[in-house]
Amino acid sequence: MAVSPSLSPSLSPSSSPSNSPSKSPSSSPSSSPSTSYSPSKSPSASPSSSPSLSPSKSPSRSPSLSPSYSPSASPSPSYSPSISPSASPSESTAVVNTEYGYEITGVTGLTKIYAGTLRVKALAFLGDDDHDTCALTTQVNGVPVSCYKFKTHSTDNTPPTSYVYFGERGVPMTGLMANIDDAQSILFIFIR
Amino acid sequence: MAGCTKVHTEWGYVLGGVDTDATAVDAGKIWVKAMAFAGNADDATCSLTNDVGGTATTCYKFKTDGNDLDASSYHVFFGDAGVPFTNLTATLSHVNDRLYIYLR
Repeated sequence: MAVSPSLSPSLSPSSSPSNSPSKSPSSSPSSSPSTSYSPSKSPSASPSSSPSLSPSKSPSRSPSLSPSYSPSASPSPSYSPSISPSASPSESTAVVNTEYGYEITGVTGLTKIYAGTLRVKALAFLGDDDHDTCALTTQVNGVPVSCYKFKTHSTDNTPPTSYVYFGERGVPMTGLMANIDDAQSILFIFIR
Repeated sequence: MAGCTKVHTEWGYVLGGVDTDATAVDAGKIWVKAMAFAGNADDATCSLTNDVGGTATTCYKFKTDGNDLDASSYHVFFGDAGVPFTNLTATLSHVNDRLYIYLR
């Protein structure tokens, strides 16, 4: 089947974040840890995007889609987009570049992780509460498209139950962004 | 119905939305490294088939169990070399389910 001409916003949140290559040091592929990182993951970390964003919420979504897809989409009104279209991606210092990849915490809402292409070996999510969520997207023709979703079980703060391994070679992910609904949750990205 | 929406990405395919009819992921042969399913509801299902001698044959199934929209609970890794699937087809039970297929 050909790609459906009606790319639902449910697959491509209509936010149009600009993954500027000139983003924060956290986007650097270098392995130098951020000196500003606080291992205490203070709850006072300031979310740089709307704190009200929740992947489980269904705000009014603009059906604006990639030009490569027809605007005739019939977005499901019940779908909860992983990324609110009203969100502006955060250039947050909550994204910490580490020797193994990235750690993201202390932020809610849409957060840029890296504007370029990463080879992701594994993802893990440590939700702070039951049913915390983390929705990840990659760029497809300039549009963020869902590439993974996490939702914690009743056993929160247990990353071993919320991870995925993509193999030693990893998978390519360009313009990776995350939408975390709890500032105390932590997303780990292990790159090749 | 035309099946659910499919988007071809750099890492593979994501399917979901629009409707719940069987949707061909790829009519040819693809090498799948991993799959993950984010069901939008408890007991959401995703059934996958591939072509065996011209007949669609089950090759995998997912069913959520109370932790909907958590793909990490429902994923499978086939190794870096992946496994071949010809005419891989998926049927999702809910329009807002998500199926992720990562190619080698």
